[in-house]
Parts: sequence; structure tokens; C-alpha cells
Amino acid sequence: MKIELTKNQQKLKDELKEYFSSLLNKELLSEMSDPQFFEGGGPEFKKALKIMGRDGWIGLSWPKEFGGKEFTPIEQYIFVEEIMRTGFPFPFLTTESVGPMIAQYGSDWAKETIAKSILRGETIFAIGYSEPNAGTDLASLKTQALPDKEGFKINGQKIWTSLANYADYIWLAARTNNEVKKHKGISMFIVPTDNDGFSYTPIQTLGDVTTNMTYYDDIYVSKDNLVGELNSGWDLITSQLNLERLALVNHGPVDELYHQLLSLAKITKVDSKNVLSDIDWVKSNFAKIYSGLETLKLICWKQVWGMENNVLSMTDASLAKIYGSEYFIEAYRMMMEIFGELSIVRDDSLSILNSRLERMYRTASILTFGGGTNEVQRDIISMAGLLMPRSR
Amino acid sequence: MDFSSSSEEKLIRESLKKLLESFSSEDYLKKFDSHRYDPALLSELIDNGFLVDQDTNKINFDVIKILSEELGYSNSPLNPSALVSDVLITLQESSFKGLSEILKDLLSNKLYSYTSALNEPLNFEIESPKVNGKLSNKGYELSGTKILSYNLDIAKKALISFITDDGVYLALIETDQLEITTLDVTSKAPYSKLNLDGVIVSKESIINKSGEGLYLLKDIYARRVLIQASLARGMVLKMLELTAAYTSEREQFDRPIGSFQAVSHRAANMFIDHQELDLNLQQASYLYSSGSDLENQILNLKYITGNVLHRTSYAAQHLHGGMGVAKEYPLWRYCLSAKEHEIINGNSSSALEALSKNITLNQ
Ligand SMILES: Cc1cc2nc3c(=O)[nH]c(=O)nc-3n(C[C@H](O)[C@H](O)[C@H](O)COP(=O)(O)OP(=O)(O)OC[C@H]3O[C@@H](n4cnc5c(N)ncnc54)[C@H](O)[C@@H]3O)c2cc1C
Repeated sequence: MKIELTKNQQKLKDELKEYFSSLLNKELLSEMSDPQFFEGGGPEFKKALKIMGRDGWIGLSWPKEFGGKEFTPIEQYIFVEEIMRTGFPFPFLTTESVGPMIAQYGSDWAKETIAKSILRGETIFAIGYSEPNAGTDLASLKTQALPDKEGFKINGQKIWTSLANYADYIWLAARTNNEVKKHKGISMFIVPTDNDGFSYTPIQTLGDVTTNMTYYDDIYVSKDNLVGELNSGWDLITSQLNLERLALVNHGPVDELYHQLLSLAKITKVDSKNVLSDIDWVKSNFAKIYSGLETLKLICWKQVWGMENNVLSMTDASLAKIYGSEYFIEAYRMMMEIFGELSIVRDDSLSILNSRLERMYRTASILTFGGGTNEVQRDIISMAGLLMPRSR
Repeated sequence: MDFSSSSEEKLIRESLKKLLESFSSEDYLKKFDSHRYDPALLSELIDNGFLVDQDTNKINFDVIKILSEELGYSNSPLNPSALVSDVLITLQESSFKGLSEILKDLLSNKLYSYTSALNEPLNFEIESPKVNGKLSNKGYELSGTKILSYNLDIAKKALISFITDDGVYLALIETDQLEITTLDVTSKAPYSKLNLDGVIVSKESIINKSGEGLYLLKDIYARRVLIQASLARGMVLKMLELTAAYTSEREQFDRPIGSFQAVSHRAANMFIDHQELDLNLQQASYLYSSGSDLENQILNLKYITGNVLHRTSYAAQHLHGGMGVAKEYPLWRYCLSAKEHEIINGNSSSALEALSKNITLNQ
């Protein structure tokens, strides 16, 4: 057993830290604190992404022959961790899940044009899975792609299509066969957002995250836009969601916040003698946050180790998703208690709280039902891990 | 023993529900999303005798609690606590002489002209103010800051607390010369910050006799917790009702999601949480109105209020899926208000520690 990063992995971490500290210049940081660019899409974001493409920092998991880095899962985890610490809205879904799938299963056109431009940091995808009546039960989605001339005609409506307001393409799941079991009749398409039949309306949310309702009205796409075999989209969706799940609960952002807040608590006076971290319950809150963070880090490390050594079990992945998403909510609550009333005030004099803690707490709940809801993850643990009977 | 509510209480609740109907529709609430205060609602409540009893010219704290519950439930943009409970009831209890003038002003102008400024940054116990008062020949010269003072920017006078060599004092001071900054709070409630450095408080504006300040402030804290718990009770009930209704309607896998045990059990936990809050609120309210010592019950209630608001707010969001965070559905406002009340006037962790000290050291 050896539960620590290797020298090389530690070196990578340090290298990334240094790289990001130079990439995140004043202009980019200021754009990142503007609510309209919380999810990226601004000019500085686009600039930074191209620089990362030029410097070879996109396509970590991609094979070298595609111009990727062929990182191991542990190295990928470190990359995600370090970038999440900075708060930069890196488009992981595009670069690490949609991109590699197009590179592997896309048509020649898609491989040549789309995959390469993702690697250059020039193309962003939004994920078009959820529909008003297909959330947790995603396989019941109704958006249709019917054969038309040499390609397909797409009609339907999606909900919660994040980034669709600036994405170049939608990674769209559509029904291509109504006659078979619902999982078996779904295919994946690359749908350009500059098509006249595409439109969207914004949905504002509690955490100031803007997502979108997207509409597909007689959109014609050629068969080059189909990714993978016809009617085999479900496998692509599930492998994409599995990849996404671990990135969602990366311990980096909470760890970063924990250290920043602890340092702040140690120097923030509460009276003439004491600092904030002298208060007993504040100490206890910090210790609880620390304890959960250690566990989360180990859970995630064990999972990437499992991926690297091909011993990953389904239960480990579900456990990580549940533990992480539920821990975040408790950790943010305890952090907010420590800074008390100041944590709900947007005040420039307390910039850490201002820009991160408060907003992170408001967006945290999305993770417990998004990316495969925790109830279903618990079903998986009891079924696959404990060999208990199926619940439905 | 009797856990039932009186017919008078039921009547008050019914008429409040009716009145608040027109102050809680989606279109109405939207108008206050960037500044959650409606003077018209205050005026309406005063006109209908819900703040000050029109026959006796007194404030009935039991009515204020019911009002708070209903305001929590409807999420209407008003918190009467600072004006009515902190200022008016405290003046009613103290040796202060000018209360009838203030009531006259309130009843004729119907404005939030009186408020309190008691909370301080990183001070989790409002009974122990850190704003300091140094005795000088003109009165007390203050140093320190107050935060989250409700409607301070529109009030004429504010009740402030400070500590001196001679104990805690409360003073009702004019606001026109004060340095007031409005704060951008997530819930968009109308809070301000007050810099008291160099402010002189004249002896005439002090409302308590020597030695009486701490007692009054402890009472204010008790009422604040009771009001917060009442607001919370209303909010939690509404979040629970929304969740039960939504999960009964929303279908996934060809059946209502509420028919999945994981969903129905979590909703049932919200119900248990609501009961926990409700029973402890009733107990503390009873002790308060019977004049008993209730320091531990108040700390316990604050602890429970924070926990229940936190748990039910997240459970409701989770059980709604994406709809729980979308601003086109009413839940999100409740979640922001829940966090506000969880974190103001101390919090669950600070209350639990104070309670633990009380029960292991003092008693
Ligand atoms: C801000 C935000 C951004 C998003 N971004 C995207 C995006 O970019 N692309 C995209 O495609 N989607 C996106 N989503 C959608 C997200 O994936 C869905 O919200 C999620 O799949 C849940 O679906 P739902 O909201 O319809 O909830 P529902 O499926 O209606 O679930 C409601 C509740 O029922 C429970 N439930 C449902 N089925 C079961 C069951 N069988 N057993 C037990 N409990 C059950 C759930 O756990 C949940 O608590 C986003 C959502 C949000 C809020």
C-alpha cells in the first residue's frame, strides 16, 4: 500500500499551479467574478482556452496520436483538482468526455474538424440530455431524429442545457427508434447552434447559474453528425456520465476554500484578545470539515487508483458521488456558520466569502440530484455492492 | 397539558392568511426580488391592528409570533421583528417614557421609522455587545460597528446596544447623523451596516436604568429567537407542502416520484423536522409568556431552528430536482430566506456550545 502522490505526480501538481497562476491574469479574474460569465463564455475565457490548447493542456485523457496527453486517471484527477482550485470554468465536459468520444466514434468529418478544434480550445459543447419529462428517467427522452434524405431531421425540446447560450454545438441525445426498449432507441448527434432551427430561452437559478431551455425545430443534420452507431447512444451517455461523476466531487475546491478560510479565521480578531479560530465551536466546525475532506480525498484517490488498475467497482463510483455531493452541503454550511452573518453579505472587504463560499453553497444542491441522482446511486450500492434485491 | 391553539389564535391566523394572499402571489413577490421590503404591507398590517392592538395600544407578542409564522409561510417581504419586538416591546418593558409618542407616530404615519441595530460582525451573542461606550461629559462616546440592521436606512431612530464599564446599555438614537451603508444580502432583505466610531450617545437617549440593560437585551434575544423560529416554522411548512404536492404530481419511470420510498421517506423526515421545530417553539413560547426562566430552551430552539431550516431547505431542493432551484418556481426564495434565518443572531453551532456550557457548568 502506498497512499500518497508519487514524486512525478507532485511535480505535475506544482507545474499546474504555476501554469494557472500565470494564465489567470487580472482581466480573466475580473471576468470570472462577473455573474454573466460564471459559466465561462466571455472573451478572456475564450482567450485562455486557446492558450491552453496551444500549450497542450486540453485533451489530457486523449491518445497521443490525436495530440492528447494520454494522462493516467490519477494525473487527470490532479489536473481537475488544480483547475477547480482556481475557479476557472474549464469546459471538462467538452474536453474530457464529449471530445474523446467524438475522437473515437465520430465520422471522419467529426474527427477531423470537431475533435481537432476541441483540442485547440476553439470549440465548446453543451450537453443536451434532460427534457422536461426526462430527468432521472433519462431514457424516456422524446426529442426525435428521423431519417431525412442523407441525414436526419431533429425536432424536440431540452431543458437545463447549460452553456447552450454560448456553445458552438449541442451533444444531443435523440430518439431514433420508437419500436424497441427505450434505452435501445437513442442516438447521439452533434447539433450546431448556429442552425436556424435552434433557439434557447434562459432559466435563472438559485445559485445565479443560468442554464437554458433549448428548442430544436426541423433541424437537418447530415449523417456525419451522428456519433457512434445508430441506436447505440445509451452506451455513450452512460460512459460520459461515469466520467463526469468523479469530476463533480473532486475535493480540490473545498480543500482550497478550507485552507483560505482557516488562514482567515486565524487572523480575524473577534475582540481585543481572541481571533475567530479561538472559539471552541469554530474549532470543532473546522475539524469536522477537515475530517470529511480527508475522507473525500481518499475516496476519490481510491477511485482513480481503481480506474488506473482496472479494478474499479460500480459501488466505488456511486459511493464517491454520494459522499462528495452530500459532504459539500454540510461543509459549506459549517463554513458559513464560522463567518456568520458576514457570509450572506456580498461585501468586497471579505473577498473570499464574496466570490466563492456563498455562491458555492447556493449551487451545491444541484450535485445531489444531477449527474445521476443519489437515490439511484444508493440503489446501485445496495444492488451491486450488497447483492440486495432490485428496488424497482 | 394542552397542545391545542385557542379559537382566538385560529381567528387571527385565518384573517392574516387572507390578508397576506394579495402580498404573496408570484407576480407580487417578483417586484421585491431586489429589495425585499414592502411599506404597503406594513401599513396594511397596522391598519388591521396586527402590530399594535387598537384598543389597548399595546403590542401582543403572541400575535407577532403568529404574524411571523404567516409571513414565513407566504414569504411576503416584511420582517416586523426589529420594529415591533426589539423596539416597541422593549420600550414597553423598560422605564422609557416616550413610548406613547412613538406609537402615535407609528399609527398615523405607518412607516418603519424605528428599528434596532444590535448585531455585530463575528459576534455570535447579541446579549454581549462589543460596541464600546466610554463615559465623557457629553454622554457615552462609542466605538464599533453594527451590521444587519433591518431598514436602518429609512428609520428615524434606532435602538442600539453597547457595553460600558458599568454594564450593558440600550439607547434609542437619531439616525440622521449616522454613517449608514446599505448591504447587499443574498436574501435581499433590507439590511444596513452602521459605523458607530465617535458617535456620542446622550444620557437622555438611554432607555434602561443602570443594571437593567443586560436583562432587556436577553429578553430581546429570546424574542428574536422565538420570532425566527416562528418564521422558520412557516417557511418549513410551506417547503414541506410544496414538496409533497410536487412529488405527488411529477412522474418519472411512469409513476409519481413520491411513490419511490427514498422520496417519500425523505419528505417524511421533513415532516419530523417540522414537528421538532414546532414542539420546541410551542414549549419556549409557553415558558416565555408565563414569565419562566427559559435561557436553555431558547438556546435549544435556536439550535433546532438552524438545523431544521438547513435540512428542510436542502431536502426540498433535492426532491424537486432541477425545479427546486429554478427561479420560475417559488421554492428558491424560501431557500434564501432559510439561510438568512439560520445564520443571523448566532447559529446552531454557537447556540449548541452556549447550551452545553449552561448545562454542564452553570446548572
Ligand atoms: C443548474 C443545472 C444545470 C444542469 N445542466 C444540465 C446540462 O447541461 N445538460 C443536461 O442534460 N442536464 C442538465 N441538468 C439536469 C439534471 O441532470 C437533472 O436535473 C437531473 O437529471 C434530475 O432530473 P430532474 O431535474 O428532472 O429531477 P427528477 O428526475 O424529476 O427528480 C426529482 C426527485 O425525484 C427523485 N427520483 C427520481 N427518480 C427516482 C427513483 N427512481 N428513485 C428514487 N428517487 C427518484 C430524484 O432523486 C429527485 O430527488 C442541469 C440541472 C440543473 C439544475
